[in-house]
Amino acid sequence: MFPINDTEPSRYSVFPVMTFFIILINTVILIIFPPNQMGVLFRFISIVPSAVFARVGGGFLTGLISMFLHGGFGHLFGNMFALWVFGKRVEDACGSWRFLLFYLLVGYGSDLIYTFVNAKSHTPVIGASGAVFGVMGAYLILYPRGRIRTLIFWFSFIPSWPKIRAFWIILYFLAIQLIPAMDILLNDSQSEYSVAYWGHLGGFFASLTILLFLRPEAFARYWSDTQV
Amino acid sequence: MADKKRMQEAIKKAKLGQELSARELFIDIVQENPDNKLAWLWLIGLLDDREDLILACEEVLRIDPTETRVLIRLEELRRTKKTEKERKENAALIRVDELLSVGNIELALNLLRKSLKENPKEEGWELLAKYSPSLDEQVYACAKIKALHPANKEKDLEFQRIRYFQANPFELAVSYEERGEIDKAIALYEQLTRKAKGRREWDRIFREINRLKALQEEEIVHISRFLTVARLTAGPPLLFFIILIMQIGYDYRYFSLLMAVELVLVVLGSFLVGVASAGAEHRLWQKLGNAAGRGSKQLRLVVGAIGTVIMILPFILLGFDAYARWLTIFDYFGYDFQ
Repeated sequence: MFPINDTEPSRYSVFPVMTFFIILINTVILIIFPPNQMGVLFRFISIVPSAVFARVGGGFLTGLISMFLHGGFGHLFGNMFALWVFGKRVEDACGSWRFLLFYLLVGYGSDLIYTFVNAKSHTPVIGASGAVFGVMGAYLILYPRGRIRTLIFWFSFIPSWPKIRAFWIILYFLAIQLIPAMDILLNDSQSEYSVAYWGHLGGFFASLTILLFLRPEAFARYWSDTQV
Repeated sequence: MADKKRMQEAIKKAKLGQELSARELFIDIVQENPDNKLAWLWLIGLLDDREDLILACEEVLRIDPTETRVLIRLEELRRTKKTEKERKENAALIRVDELLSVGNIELALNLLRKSLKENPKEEGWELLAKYSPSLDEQVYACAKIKALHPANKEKDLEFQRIRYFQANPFELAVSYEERGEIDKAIALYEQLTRKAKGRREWDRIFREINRLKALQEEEIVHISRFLTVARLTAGPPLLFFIILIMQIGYDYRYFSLLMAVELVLVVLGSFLVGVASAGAEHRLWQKLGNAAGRGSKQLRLVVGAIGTVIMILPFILLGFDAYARWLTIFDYFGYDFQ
C-alpha cells in the first residue's frame, strides 16, 4: 500500500510552499551528504539516545540534523512522497510558517519518545519519518474522511490505485508499527530492527498538537465538526 | 364702550354654554386689546388647546404678574406638557427597542431617525450608532454623543474608533467577523461593493461575501479571540520545552535559571506573534496608537517581527549551548583525531 496522491483540493492556499521547501532541503542534503561517503559522520552529527542522556554532543541540534538526514534515496523518496501527499493539506490548514513549526515539533516529539524508549542505544537515528508520521497523524485528525489515491499491489504484482479514505491508510501504517514497537518496549530489542518504530509512534502522538497551529478559520471549522 | 358691550355679550354667551361663540368674541377682544386681562382670564376657562392655554396664562401674567392662581395653572400646564413630551419620546424609543428585539432593524431605524429629528436624545443617538448599517450615520451619531459629553474619554475613544473604521471599512468587516457577527460583516461588504474601486476590489469583496455566507451555511461556530491568541501562543513554547528536555538529557536538575528565562521569552515572543497573526482587536494595539484598538497591517508586521526575534533568540542561545558541547561526542565515542 503506497499513498500516491491526495485527491481533494486545498481551501486556503494555492501551493504548499513549506512542504516543497522541506522536501527540497532534504533532497539537497542527501546530495551534499551522500550516506555511502559521509555515513561515518552520522553518529557524531545525528541524534544518539545514549549521548542525549549523557548530555554530550550537539544536544537538540543533533535532533534537527537527524530530521534532515536520510540513509539513501529510497529512504528519502518514501518519506518525502508521504510528506507531499499528506503535508499539502495540513500546510493548507496551518499556513506555511506555522506548518514549519508543527513539522519541527512533531520531529522533536518523535525524537523525544524514541530516545526515551531506547535510552541506552548507541545507534544514531536519522530520517524525517517521525515528523512525517506526525504530519500523517495531523491529516488523520483534520481530514479523516479525505480520499487518498493509493497504489496497491494485489498478491504483490497486480497493481490498482483506488481512492481510499485517509483513516484506513493511516491506521494501517500505524498498525504496522505497533507490534515491533511493543516488542522493542518489552524485550529491549531495538538493535534487531533498522526502523525507529517508537520514533514513528512519537511523531504520531505529537501530532495531537496540530490544533495549536491551525489557522483561525480552520480551527473554527474543526471545532464545528465540518470539513477543515 | 363698545368693548364693554362685547365683553358683556361674550360673558353672557359663556354663561349660557355657547362656548364657541363666546371664545371667538373673547379672541376678537384680545386681538384688538391685548391688555384686557378679564378677556384673557375668560379665555383660560374656554380654551381647549394646551398651547393656547399656556399663551393665555402668559398674557395674564404679563399684564398682572401677581395673579398667583394663573401662575400655578401655567406651571401645571408646562409640567404636563413636558411629561407628555417625555412620554411620547420614551414611547418612540420603547417602540424602537421592541422592533430591534424582534429583528426589524430597518423599520426601527426609520422610526429612530424620525424620533431623533423631533427629539435628539442621547439614548436615540446611541441606538443609531449601534444599529445603523451606514458608517457615515454611525460617525454622525457618535459625534452627537461626543458633543453631549465633551470631556468623556470613553465617548471620545468610541468616536475615534468609528472614525477609524470609516476610513478603513474593510477592517470593520473583519472585526465583525472576528466577533462572530457574520450578518453585519456581510451587510457591510455589500455596502462596500457599491463603493468598490475597480474590478479587483469588487472581486475581493465578492469572495469575502461568498466565504462568509459559506461559514453561515455550514454553521461554523465563533471562536473567541482570547482562545485564538492563547492557542497560537502555545505552540512554540511547547517546541522549546521539548528541545529543553533533550538538551538537559531528561534530567530536571540540569534545568537552569537561564533556561527558565529563555522559556519565558519564547512565551512572550510567541504571544506577540499570536496577537499579530490573529489580527484581532486587542488593548495592545490601542496602546500602540491605533484608535480602533485593531492591529493595522503595519503595526502587526512590526509587532510580529519583534515577537519573532524575541521568540527565536532563546532557540539561538540554546543552539550556542548545544554547539559549544558538540565536540564532547568524539570523546564519548572514543574517537581519536590523531
